[in-house]
Amino acid sequence: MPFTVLCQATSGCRDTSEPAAVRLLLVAVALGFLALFLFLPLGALFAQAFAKGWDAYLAALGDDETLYALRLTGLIAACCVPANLAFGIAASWAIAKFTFPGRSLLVTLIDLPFSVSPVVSGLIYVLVFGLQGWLGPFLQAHDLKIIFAVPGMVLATVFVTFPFVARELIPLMESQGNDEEEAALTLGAGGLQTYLRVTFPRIKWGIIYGVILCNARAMGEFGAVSVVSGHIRGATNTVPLQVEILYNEYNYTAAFAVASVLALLALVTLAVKSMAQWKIHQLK
Amino acid sequence: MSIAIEKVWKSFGGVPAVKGVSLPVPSGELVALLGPSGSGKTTLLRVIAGLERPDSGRVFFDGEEATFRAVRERKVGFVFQHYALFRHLTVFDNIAFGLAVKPRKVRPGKREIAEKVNALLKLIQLEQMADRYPAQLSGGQRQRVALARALAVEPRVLLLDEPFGALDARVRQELRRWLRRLHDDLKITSVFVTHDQEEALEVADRIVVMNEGEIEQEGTPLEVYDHPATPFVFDFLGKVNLFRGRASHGRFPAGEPPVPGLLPSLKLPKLCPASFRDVDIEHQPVDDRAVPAKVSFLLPVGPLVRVELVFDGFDSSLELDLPRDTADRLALRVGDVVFALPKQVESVTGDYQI
Repeated sequence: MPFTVLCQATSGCRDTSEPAAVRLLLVAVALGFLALFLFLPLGALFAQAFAKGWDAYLAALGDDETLYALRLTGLIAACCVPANLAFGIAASWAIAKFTFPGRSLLVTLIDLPFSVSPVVSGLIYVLVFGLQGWLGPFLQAHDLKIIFAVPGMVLATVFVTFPFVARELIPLMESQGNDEEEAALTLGAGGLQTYLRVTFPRIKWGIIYGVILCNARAMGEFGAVSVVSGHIRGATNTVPLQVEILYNEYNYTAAFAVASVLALLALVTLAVKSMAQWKIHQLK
Repeated sequence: MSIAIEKVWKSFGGVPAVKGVSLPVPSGELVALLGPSGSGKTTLLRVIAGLERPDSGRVFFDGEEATFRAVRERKVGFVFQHYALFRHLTVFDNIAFGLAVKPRKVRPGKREIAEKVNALLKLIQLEQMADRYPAQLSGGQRQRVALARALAVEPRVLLLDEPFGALDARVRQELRRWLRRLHDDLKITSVFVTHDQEEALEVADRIVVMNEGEIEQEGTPLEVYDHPATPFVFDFLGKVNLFRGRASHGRFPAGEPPVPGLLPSLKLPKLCPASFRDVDIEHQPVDDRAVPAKVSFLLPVGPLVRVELVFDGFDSSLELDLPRDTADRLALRVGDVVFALPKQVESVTGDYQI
């Protein structure tokens, strides 16, 4: 009776639980899948990046064009995240705490970037701001460059990343309800005091979670940015675009070295995310 | 401070919740808004607090119109049904909240705030819990913290929404009496919402019975209990045994054949449904009004015994609770024939069906 022995050894075992073999199989399948599709590629990525040693890795990252791409990616994220943070807080507040005409439309529209292919959202901006686009002649007459320049890349990234903060906050704020805010009002707090002392502390970790996801996507966005950037080296190349260029030039070590920066970002994002989730759970 | 409500209407999405309610609340009284869920009592309470703005009608505080006054200017203490304590703040900071958000000019100093909070903690007997978070407290403790938090700003009116609704029976009893004593000490005008008639009868100075957005009756607990003005109040305020008979010329039920001896002396208006409560049971007919009945069901419930009686000539049965010792004395058994003597008979006017 080996199964019975195993069953007694595990503390969480109850009579209602699946047989040990089934549980073992389920865990094995889940872990195996994870190893095959997640850990293996991640390992391969770092292995490739360090294939020619630590020096080659640093040299690849120290390349002028790569450094420029890192700075540009940082700049775009620095523009997008605050914009979407402001939008996300405003939208989630409006949706969670009030009813107004167009509320359900707003909820639907927030999800739009999730359902539209990033390439399409990039093309939309080309259609609007490009030379042949609606605003093209006007922009050219005033010497304003949006497409194939940083402003266009910021716009495309804002579009792709705007659901993240709002999507995180709406369910959180809806689940918390209005009671505490109303309590604060009856106790004499003003609108701003209520927000700072009651609402914000409760959604703080939701905001952090949303921001970190938004930031990760803003730095990693490829499709939409690729369409509007024009791939001008040292001018409109972000980190993901730089990875592609290096890879196409058969410069694998450099490509994977740069890619490893994005992978590290993903790991940090995961860590912050799980901490935020734990904190949110505590506040619920 | 006295409150007056004048012809207040409030609807949500086209559905009226409060329909033209007028109600005076004299200064220093403890008033219960009693009614089933959906009767508009909570909405009325929120209108008084300023958390809802009435569609029409006016609210007066001490004779001054306050209909459009902002919540924070009304100086009401509001205790929410689910406490609404600030989860991220300690008990101490919860109670201190109302003082800490005062404008700088009138805000008391840190020491004064601490003194006040400690005095309130003593009042609610939770001095040891000052540094705990709401999640670490029991339901009854949270309710007391919510009350202390509301009292900290020295409100002129205290409004409580189902204050004991979410608590277990024993804690509810205890808190009820505590609230009554607290009100006797502080004499602050208070309105509380409840669906529990026992709670209203025990705690309140006055009871306002509400149903479907309107006031059915208003009065002291004794008035409301002894002289229910409408069938609804009668039904809501206690165990009712309503008979589908009609009284005619002082006899109940009307028509043939009348139950012998039943309520001949009763002065009932012509043709109205009637019901009675507080029925005595004896084995012998001690009074000429006593009615023979058969025991059809017996069930001991704690200190009481639930007895169901059926009468010849009636299609509905009579259910009543006897004290255990009375039941023991009578040694009732299912199938016994006994004599029932209604001590109180109500005629209920209006078209009432059950």
